[in-house]
Amino acid sequence: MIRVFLTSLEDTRVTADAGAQHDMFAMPEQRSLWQDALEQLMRNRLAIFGVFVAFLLLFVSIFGPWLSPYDYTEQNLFRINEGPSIDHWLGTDGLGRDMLTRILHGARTAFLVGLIVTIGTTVLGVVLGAAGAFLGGWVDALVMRLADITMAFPDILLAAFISVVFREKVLELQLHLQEQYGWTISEGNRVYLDYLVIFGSLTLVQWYGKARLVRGQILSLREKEFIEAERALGASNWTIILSHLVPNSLGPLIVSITVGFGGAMLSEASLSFLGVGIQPPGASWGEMISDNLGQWRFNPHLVVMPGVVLAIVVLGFNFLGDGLNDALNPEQRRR
Amino acid sequence: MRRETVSRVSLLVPFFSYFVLILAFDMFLYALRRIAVLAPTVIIVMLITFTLGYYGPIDPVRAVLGEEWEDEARYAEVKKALGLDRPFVIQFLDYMGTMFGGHWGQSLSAFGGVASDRAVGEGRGAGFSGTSTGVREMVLGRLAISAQLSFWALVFLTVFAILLGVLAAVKQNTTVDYAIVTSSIIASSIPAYVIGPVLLIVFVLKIPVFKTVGGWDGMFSRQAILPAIVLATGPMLVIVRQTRAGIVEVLGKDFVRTARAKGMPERLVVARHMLRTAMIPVLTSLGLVTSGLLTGSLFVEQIFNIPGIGKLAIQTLMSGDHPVFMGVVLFQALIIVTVNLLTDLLYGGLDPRVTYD
Repeated sequence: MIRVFLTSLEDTRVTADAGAQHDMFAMPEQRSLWQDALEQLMRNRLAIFGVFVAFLLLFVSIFGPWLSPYDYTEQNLFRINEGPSIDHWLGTDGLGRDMLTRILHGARTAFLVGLIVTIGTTVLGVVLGAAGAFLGGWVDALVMRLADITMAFPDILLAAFISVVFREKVLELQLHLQEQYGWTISEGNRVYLDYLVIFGSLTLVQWYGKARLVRGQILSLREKEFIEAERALGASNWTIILSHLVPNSLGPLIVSITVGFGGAMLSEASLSFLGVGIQPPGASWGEMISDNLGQWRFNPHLVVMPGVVLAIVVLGFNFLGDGLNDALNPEQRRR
Repeated sequence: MRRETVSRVSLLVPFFSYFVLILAFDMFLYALRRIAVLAPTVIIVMLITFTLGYYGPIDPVRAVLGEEWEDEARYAEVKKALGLDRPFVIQFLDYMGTMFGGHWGQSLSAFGGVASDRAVGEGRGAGFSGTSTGVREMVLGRLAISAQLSFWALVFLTVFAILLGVLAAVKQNTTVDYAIVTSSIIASSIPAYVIGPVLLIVFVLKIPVFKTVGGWDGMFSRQAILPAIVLATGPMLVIVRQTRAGIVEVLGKDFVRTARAKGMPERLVVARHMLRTAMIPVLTSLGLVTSGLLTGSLFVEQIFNIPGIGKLAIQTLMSGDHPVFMGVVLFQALIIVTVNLLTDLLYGGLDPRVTYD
C-alpha cells in the first residue's frame, strides 16, 4: 500500500518535472529564415499553384516535343482549322499544323527565353548594381543614369526596335562568317536567329530593375548596426559581403528573379505577337495568337488556346513571386 | 464678433503665404534641378533611337525608290535629297535640330512612298494615307485617338479600381478582400492580346452585345467600350493595391475615429476623410499607369484595329518608316519622363512632410 503510494508519488514528481522542463527550460524550436520561408510558402495555395505551373513548364519544355506524334512545322492542308478531335487534341491551325504540338513547342520557347534572359539580366544587374554601390562616384552615377535612360523608354517598343535592328546585323554577320570562313551555323532554318535577337534585346531592356534592387539593398544594409558591429569586431570586407550582404539581399533578389522570369516570357510573347519576335515557322504562344487572330470569329479556339496557356503560365509565375515575397521578406508581409 | 474672426484670419494670411512661398520656391528649385538632369537624358534617348534608326535594317533610300534602287544615279540623288550622304554626327545634330525646332521631320512616304511590300497586316498602308506626311502631324493626330481611348480607360479605372480597392481595405482580410485582390492580379497579369480576343468572343459571338467591332468611330461610339475595358485591365492592379494600402493605413488613425465619434455615417467617413489621404499613394503610381496605358495601346489598337499611336508605331516599324517610328518612341519617352516628374512634384505638393533636397 505504502509502496504503491510512494511509486505513484514518484511518478507524479517525475511527470511534473518533465513537464516543467519541457515548458520552461527547453529551447524554442529553431528555424532558419529558409525553413520559415518554405513553411510560409507551403501554406500559400496560390504559390503552390505557381510552383506546380513552373515544374509543369519545365517538364513540358524538355519532354514536350517527344510527347506528340507530329512535328511542329508539319502541315496538312487537307485538315485546316479543325476543332479538337482524337487525331488532333486541340485542333489544327490555318496550315493544318497540330495546335497541341505547337503549344508544347511554344512552352520550350517560353522557358528558354525566360531562362536565358533571367540569367542575363541577373548577371548584368548584380554586377552593375554591386559595382555602383561599392565603387560609388562616377561608376555609380553612370549606372544610375543608364538605368534612368532605359527606364525612360517604353520598354516593349525599345525591345522591338533593338530586335529589328539586331536581326539584320546578326544575319549579316552570319553571311560574312559563311563567306569568309565557310562556317555554316544553320542551313535554311533561321529560328535560332529569332532566339538570339530576343535574348539580346530583352536583356538590354530589362536589366535595370535588378541593378537598382541590388544597389539599394547593398547601400541600405551597409548602414545597418549589425554590419557596423561586425566591422568593429574586425571582420574583413569579404566576410561581411559573403556572410551578411549576400544572404540578406538574396530574398528580394529571388523574388525579382521569379517575377522577371514570368516577365521575360510575357515580353517574348508580346514581341512575337507584334511580329518582331519569333517568326512564323517557329512556335511561340504570342506568335500563335497573332497568327490566328483573324480566325477569332470562325475558329475561336485557335486564339483562345495559346492565350489560356500563356495566361496560366504568367499567372503562375506572378503568384509564385507574390508568395515568395511574402515568405522571404517578412518585414514586407502584407495583410 | 464676425469682424474679429475676419481680422484674425487676415493676420494669418501673410504668415501662411510665407510658408507657401518657401514651399513653392523649394519646389521650383527642385523642378529646375530635375529638368536640368532631364535634358541630357532626353538627348541620350534621342541618340539611342537615332543610332538604332541609322543602323536600322531598312535602307531609307531603297524604301523610297522601291524597284528602282539599282539605278546608281537615282540612288545617289535620293540619298543626297534625304541628307544621308553626310557623316553620322552631322546627321544626328540635324535630327536634334528638327526635333527641338518642333518640326520633327518628314515621313519617308513624303519622298514617294515606303516600299509597300513591307507594309503588313490589314492596316496596309493606312499609316501613310493621312493628308499630312509630317512626323509631328502624324504622331499628334494618332495620339488624339489613343488619348480618347485612354480617357475612357482612366474613367473605368477611377470608378471601378478605386471602388474595389476601398472595398478590399474596408473588408480587410476577409473573403471579399482576397477575391478582389486575386481577381485584379489575374486581370492585370493576363496580357491585353489574350483578354481582348476572349472578350470579343464572349461579347460578340456568345452574347451578342456588340454588333460591329474594330475600327474607330469617335469617342462616343459603342466600338470604344471593349477596347477601353481591355486597356484598363493592365494598370488595374496598381490602382487597387495602392488604394487598398492607402485606406488600410488610415483605418485606425485618430482623425478617422474622430469622424466616426461625431456620428458621421461610415460611407462619408470613407469618402471624405480616408479617401482623401489614401489618394496620395494612388497619385504617385500615375507614372506606372501611364506607361501601362501606352504599352497596352500597342496591343489593344492592334487587336481592335484602331488607328492610334500604338498602331502607328507597329506599322512604321514594320514598313521601315524610321523617322515616324523614332518620333513615336521619342514622344512616348517624353510622356513617361514628364509624368514621372509631375508625379514627384505632385507628391510633394500633396504631402507636406516631403521636402525637396
